[in-house]
Amino acid sequence: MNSDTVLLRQIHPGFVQQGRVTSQAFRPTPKDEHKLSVYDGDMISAGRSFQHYTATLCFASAGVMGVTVGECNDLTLTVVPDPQPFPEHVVIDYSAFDKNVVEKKAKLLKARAESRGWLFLDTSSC
Amino acid sequence: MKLVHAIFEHGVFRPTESVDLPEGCEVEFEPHLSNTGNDPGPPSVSSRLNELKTLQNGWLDGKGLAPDSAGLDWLARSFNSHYADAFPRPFVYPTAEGGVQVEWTIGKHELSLEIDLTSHRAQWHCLDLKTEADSFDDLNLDDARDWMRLTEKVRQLAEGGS
Repeated sequence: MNSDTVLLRQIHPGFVQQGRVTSQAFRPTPKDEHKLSVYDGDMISAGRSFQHYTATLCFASAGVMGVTVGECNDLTLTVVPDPQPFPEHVVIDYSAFDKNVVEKKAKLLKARAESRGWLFLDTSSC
Repeated sequence: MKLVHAIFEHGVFRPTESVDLPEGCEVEFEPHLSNTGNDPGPPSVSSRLNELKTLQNGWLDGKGLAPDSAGLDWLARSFNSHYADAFPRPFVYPTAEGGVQVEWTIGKHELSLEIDLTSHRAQWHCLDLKTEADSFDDLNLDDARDWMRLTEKVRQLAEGGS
């Protein structure tokens, strides 16, 4: 993993309205212990991460968006491999920041991801 | 020559702006679907809030709380009373905590209003994506004056202010 590595984020269908993604998709929920789960894009493709997330883990995803490690670091967000749940698992750590700062960083990460577009889109639910 | 936008209706192409061509002249063109004309935008806030009533606890991969139905009704009534139809329609999303987050993208600004359906309090956040300057405000959505503050912020941004 290096600064150009794309971190693959699964976007929950509830966080998409008419193709527009909420900034919530890029901030951890209170139960996530301030860590946002992503896949290491050097280890798995967007399409395969979607398959793993939906078929193996049985979670819901509307598709996959991505931000780079460098983009996270530019926002002073630390990116940490966390292979315990599965080998490609990585977390973006928001734990050093309060709620307001988290919201700002989530919006900025979403903007970076949107500039890249959907890396994989679940066409079966369209 | 200037690009011409048109709407295709009842078998006829109707320009949406003035066209600098002599009357009766023939033209030929290859039509391209435009993104500007056919995007209906988000649905009304009340209709979207009604959709959120179908969510159940656990909707976010086992973790999300379903928004309270009475709270959604209160929010729909509040938007209908205080947020004019002429203002930009926001997008509306559930939050993991059982609330609602309302969002707008206006020019280079990303706006959000995270609403607690129990306390009726909301946190406003406005971020300029270009400068990364942002601002926050805590609002009481039972107070008409706070709704005025909110609508004034949206109006200013929609009209190109900062």
